[in-house]
Amino acid sequence: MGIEEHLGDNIITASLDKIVSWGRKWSIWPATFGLACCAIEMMTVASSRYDFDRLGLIFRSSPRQADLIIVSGRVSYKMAPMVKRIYDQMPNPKWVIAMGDCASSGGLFNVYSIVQGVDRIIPVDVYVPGCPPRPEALIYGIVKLQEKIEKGTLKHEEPPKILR
Amino acid sequence: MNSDNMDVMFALTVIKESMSKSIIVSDAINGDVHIQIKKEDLLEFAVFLKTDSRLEFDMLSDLFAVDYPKKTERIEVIYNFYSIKNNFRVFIKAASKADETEYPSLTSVYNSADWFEREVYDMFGLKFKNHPDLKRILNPDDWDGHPLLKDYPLRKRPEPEEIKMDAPGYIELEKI
Amino acid sequence: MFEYKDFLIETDKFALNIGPSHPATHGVLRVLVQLDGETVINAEPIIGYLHTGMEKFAEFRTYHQAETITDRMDYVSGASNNLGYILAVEKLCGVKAPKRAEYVRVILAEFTRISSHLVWLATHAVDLGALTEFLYCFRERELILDIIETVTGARMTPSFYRVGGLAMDVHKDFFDKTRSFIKIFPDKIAEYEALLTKNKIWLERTKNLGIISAEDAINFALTGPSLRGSGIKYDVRKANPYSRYEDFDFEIPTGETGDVYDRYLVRMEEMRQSLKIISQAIENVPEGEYLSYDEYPEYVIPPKKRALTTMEGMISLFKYGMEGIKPPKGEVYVSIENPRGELGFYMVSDGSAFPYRMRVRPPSFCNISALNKMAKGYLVADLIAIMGSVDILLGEVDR
Repeated sequence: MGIEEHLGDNIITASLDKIVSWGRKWSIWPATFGLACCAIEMMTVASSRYDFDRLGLIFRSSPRQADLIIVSGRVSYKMAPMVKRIYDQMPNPKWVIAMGDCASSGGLFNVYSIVQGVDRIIPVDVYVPGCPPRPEALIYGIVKLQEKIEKGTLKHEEPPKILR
Repeated sequence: MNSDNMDVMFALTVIKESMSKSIIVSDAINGDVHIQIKKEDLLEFAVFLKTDSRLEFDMLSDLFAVDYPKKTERIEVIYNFYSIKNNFRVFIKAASKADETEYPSLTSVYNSADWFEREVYDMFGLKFKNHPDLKRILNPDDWDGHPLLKDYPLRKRPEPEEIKMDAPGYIELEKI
Repeated sequence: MFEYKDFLIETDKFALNIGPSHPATHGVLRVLVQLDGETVINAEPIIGYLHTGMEKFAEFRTYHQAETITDRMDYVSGASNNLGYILAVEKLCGVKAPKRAEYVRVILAEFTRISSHLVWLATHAVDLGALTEFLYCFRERELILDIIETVTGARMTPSFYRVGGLAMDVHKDFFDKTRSFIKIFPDKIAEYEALLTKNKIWLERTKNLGIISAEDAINFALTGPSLRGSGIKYDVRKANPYSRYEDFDFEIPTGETGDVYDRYLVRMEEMRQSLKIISQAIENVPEGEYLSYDEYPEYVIPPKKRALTTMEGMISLFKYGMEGIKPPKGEVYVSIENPRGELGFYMVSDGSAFPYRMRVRPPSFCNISALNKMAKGYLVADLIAIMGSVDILLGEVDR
């Protein structure tokens, strides 16, 4: 997107990569999107004791302004199209954290109405285990995502593959 | 227990006196009153429970079904009536076949019956007569089968590829 | 002369779709609203976006395994949900827990009530623009979760109760932490109220909104603070006391008009009453056994210490793990007062180790079904306030 298409692959873009990745790393804006139990812990992370504003994360109510979607909870078959649509509405580059066992693999609920892992409908960058994960675990997941973003380039990358 | 609580035996006698023709079996286990009635008389029975001045069951607290696949009338619908004034609860049961269509709806008497009946329809496939808007409530509209039936497998689900990803967007005004 | 209606702009009817992913729906509720200008004509909640099939799933778990499902149902008040489930299984088996266990259960259930009301207050206030309230409420909620974690080892999903008692004895830190919490919390409630109760903006946005009459509330089977806000003094803790609630002295707050503001006041007062119950219970927790294994060895697991030191304890623990408990045939109904209303469990047992049917009577499910009745005729901005005041939890609505 944008300038890298004109500059091509050379030494300028290599240095630009670092600056842009550094900027992206400290301004990940997650979409306000909660599903189940983990959504309450996600709110806790945003609140007084854990306060993830200090990592540059600010909740945005519109997916059009968000870079990150934290899938916090179990995804049912009825909800799956909406999760996919919210993901599609987010502008590139975008990242996904599957928070909790249910979002990662279906977890406890191996039943008829639950999609067994959100990675079957959208690509996932970081999985955070736990049922529900402690707020510290989510912060660790976000730090891991920051490390991943830091290594990224300006060039348009293919998102991780969807597991089927 | 409060002193103004209704006595189990008194309530049973009052109900038996007035509605003896529709009662099949009645018993009191663990302080809960269970009454098995004919399903044709359900509406009449509910109106009686609500309006009778001695009983005043003003709340339909719950409505659900249990599936017994081995019986001929396999689905048993259980109505949980509660009287706030008398602090008394009664369970009314009515059994029927799985594809029953002639079940009376209690929506005209109790507003809470609306969603409960939709849930029973969704989970067991029981159709309620004269229900204003009988459609699925928890599962998607195009879901196949009724999950709480005993012969529905726990893990029967469509493949993720089969999900229709075009989420509903435009809604016609008349349809809501 | 002109009349008021002459100044109104001519409006058109249209449909508005709120949710299923919307910051103000507290989860994945979808509301189809039919509007005339800004006035709500019809608001139809569409649920099921978090349907997890819990009632079906419980039929495939043993009685103790199924307990873990119940706290993921109403995830803000896990200990309260476990209590309802365990009481139902205990009634099925005819087991009674020792007094020590019942007191600890009451304390945990009341703690979850406070923490649930704090989450409600935080999100409800954020919806109406009071962000500070959110930070305040979550500050104290962390203290409560710390206490629950000290006892149970989990923050939100404890699954700490067992048939006939508790999983383990309570930690001694629990008493000190609880006492210090009781000391500080009344000031904190005053802090929340200072921000809202007499705030002009808050009054404008909540008074005379979403009114539901007592008659309608009963007809829609509302329970909990939503019913008490309309002036009906119905609380399961008083009407059918369970788990020794009759030992404690507490009031049931009620409202008058049944509007959003009344429901707010009822919940604020309930937090004080819960604290009152906790402070009575914590001073009177008796010493003694926390599992009634001696009375009912057939249904109750042996205490950890005995299971690890004696042979028969080891064997019976192994048996519970492998086979589970097998209650006699029968049907029971137990209801408790959840933070949201009357939570009922109807258990059907066929004599095997698995529940034949577990029916949950969800309070939020009934409460949200009255949304259309409450919201009709108000503005669409008020719909958000009304939705918040009902305090629904979608995990429980959809199960």
